[in-house]
Amino acid sequence: MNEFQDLIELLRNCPRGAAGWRQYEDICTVILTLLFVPPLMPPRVQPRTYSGTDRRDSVFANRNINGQGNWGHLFNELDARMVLFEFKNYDTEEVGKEETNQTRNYLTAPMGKLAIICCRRLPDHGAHVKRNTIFSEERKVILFLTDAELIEMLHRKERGEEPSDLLLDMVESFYLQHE
Amino acid sequence: MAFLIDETPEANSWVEKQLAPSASGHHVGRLTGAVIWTDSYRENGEPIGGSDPSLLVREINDRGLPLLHGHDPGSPAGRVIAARSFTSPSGIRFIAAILAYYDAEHLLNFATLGIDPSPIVQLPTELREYEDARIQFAVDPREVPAAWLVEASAEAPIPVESLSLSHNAAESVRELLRIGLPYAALVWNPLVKTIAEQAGKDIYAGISLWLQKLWGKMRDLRDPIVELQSQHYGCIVSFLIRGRDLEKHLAAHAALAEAAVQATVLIDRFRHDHPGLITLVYEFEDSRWIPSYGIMGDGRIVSDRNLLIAYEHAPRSLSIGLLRKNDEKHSPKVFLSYAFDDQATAWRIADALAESGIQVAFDVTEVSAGDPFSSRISKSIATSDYLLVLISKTSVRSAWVQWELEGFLSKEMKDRAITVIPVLLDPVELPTSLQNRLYVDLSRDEEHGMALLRHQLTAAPKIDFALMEYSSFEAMVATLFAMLGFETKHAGRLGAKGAGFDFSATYQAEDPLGQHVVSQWLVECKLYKEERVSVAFLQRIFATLSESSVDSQALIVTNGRLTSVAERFLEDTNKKVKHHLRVIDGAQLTALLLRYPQIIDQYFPRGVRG
Repeated sequence: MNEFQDLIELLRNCPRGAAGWRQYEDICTVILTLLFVPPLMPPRVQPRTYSGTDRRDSVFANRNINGQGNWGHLFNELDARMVLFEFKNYDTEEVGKEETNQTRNYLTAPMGKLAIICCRRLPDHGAHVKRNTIFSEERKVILFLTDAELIEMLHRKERGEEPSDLLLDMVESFYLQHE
Repeated sequence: MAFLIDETPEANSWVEKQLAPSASGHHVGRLTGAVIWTDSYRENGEPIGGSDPSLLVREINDRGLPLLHGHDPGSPAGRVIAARSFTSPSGIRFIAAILAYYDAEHLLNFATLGIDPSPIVQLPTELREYEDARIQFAVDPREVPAAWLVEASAEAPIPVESLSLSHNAAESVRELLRIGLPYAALVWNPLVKTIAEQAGKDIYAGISLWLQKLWGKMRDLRDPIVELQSQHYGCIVSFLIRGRDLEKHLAAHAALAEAAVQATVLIDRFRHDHPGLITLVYEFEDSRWIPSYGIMGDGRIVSDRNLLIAYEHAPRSLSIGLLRKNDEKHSPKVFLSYAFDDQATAWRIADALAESGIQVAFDVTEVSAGDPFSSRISKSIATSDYLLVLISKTSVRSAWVQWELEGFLSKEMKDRAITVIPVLLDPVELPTSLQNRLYVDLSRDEEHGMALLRHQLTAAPKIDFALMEYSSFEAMVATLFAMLGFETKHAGRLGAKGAGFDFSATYQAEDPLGQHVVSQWLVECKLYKEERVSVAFLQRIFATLSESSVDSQALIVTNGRLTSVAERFLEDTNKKVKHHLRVIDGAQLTALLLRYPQIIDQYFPRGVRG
């Protein structure tokens, strides 16, 4: 059995919406751990309550303080001492500006300025506008990762290439569109 | 039960003597004495020991017995290296034994012994020896229901000899089924056409069929481990198949013959270079068989993995050094995709490839779109494997081939950098999705086409950029361009405007109207391990080009793959700028290199790492 393909299948089969939210968080955390640990530290999975829903985030500590590699680059550029991943297993709705703003508030000074929202479909226009505003005001970067990007990173890893290349290109591309 | 040793002076003295540093002669870790059998009974009347004590002592003193975690033959903890029977002053018969636990200090590995654990082998097409076939089926009757065993044995094509394993069943959470088979039955494969005795052919084919049925019965057990066991030149070879997943078992079964042949090569290497290998255990992981560990007669363990090195009193749940390496070299396999009508040709190709030592992992016949097959192939195929798509008059019309190549599977093969090689059986037009690929044409001259295909499949694994230096990469790309008909000039000869490019390449040709056309390219090489073609890098190149007055097209050659974000950026920017930029990525570069074996030989002389 191929570990990468197993995870891809699990992700594709994970129900969207309320039925699969816990499963989605678990699968994403396993995938992100496979992709990024090391060089990131194993994630701290923390529960928090938001809008009455029990949710959990995964926070990966980034100790690549010597500036080496993609994570070192992100550490230097965005003070990304902690990399926050949030999970939104929405079925019919899209992630909007409210959720994006919540994520901004969660990025306190000790966390750094990089957060990643894992979601099943691309967030709506309002979310994209909001994250531009957030970057203009606080230089905080929020990336949106759908299943397609998670799968692309699994394929990169399987091919022996660095999965975080995609994140770095997403950050770079975000800067360019912001200009 | 250790008190039995303490209260029996004769046993105490024997154990102390055995534990003396020079006594065992075994190259293993810590030794300890233990009671491994008594004639006492549990409250329910069940004997605590289980097996025949005299047989147990003989076996241990003869060649030792493995000491396993949770009775799992894949988790060796050490060996029981000596044993003797005693009777305690209170009249209890018992066997005291010396347990030797492996430790990291005494661990050997295949690499330092200079032995390739997964040699490339060729499946035999004939079996010269015919062995008296008998199946031995050993289980612990406390683990496996008798009715299940009777049913499983009843369908065997040859007599089954039942043996009892004796475990501490109370602690066992899984069932161990040890199936002893003649070695030829493991090596037997559908390519075998000649067998010393005709009877053997039916027997080996029958055993294979019986095993296939047996995998289906695993669903009735809790968590089975099947140990297919045989012997080759006195070395016990085991293949472990775990769990109840029928699909996985069938894949393991399909790959068994190749692994069994690999095992014989490995054993022969040990016999020649490091005599004394007595056990070799294979695990089926990541869709392939890999040698998990071997045991030498002097007790040392040979493994390339960070095996579980056990300590006697480590809590059961605590695994020390459990991380298993997963970077064993993988012999490339070839998957064949063909329409049902082309089956005969497919088998002819498989046979021809087998003669060159290239193994067709399993064939793929026509299935309907959406069949779970796509999931099966996705799991079985690995990045270094090949998918041959046979294109014929029949298959180009086949919904399956269309779906496979233009849809999901095609994209996935691209994303996973799996090499897809179209093979033309008839003079038909290639499906759109394959038109840019290097293909092999068997429709005009099959012999020449097969030679080319064999060459491509054997040359491709040599292309390993991990060992390459940047200067070699640049030189290789320049050589490739020269071979493709370009006239190349090093960047040093370019003007200041050419900064950022390694060399220029000029191509001259006639257009269809007879006009002489010269196209000029500026070429930049990027070896992925040193620098990748990122969005930031593409942006810099576009900026350099926009400032340049040179009327050239620009090309980047890399052995890596662009991210989807970089691909989008390249596509969008090309629409807006005057100087277009093109990227040849790792997959395209490999396909181009395969046309020129001399370049592969020149720049990848060491071939596959390992």
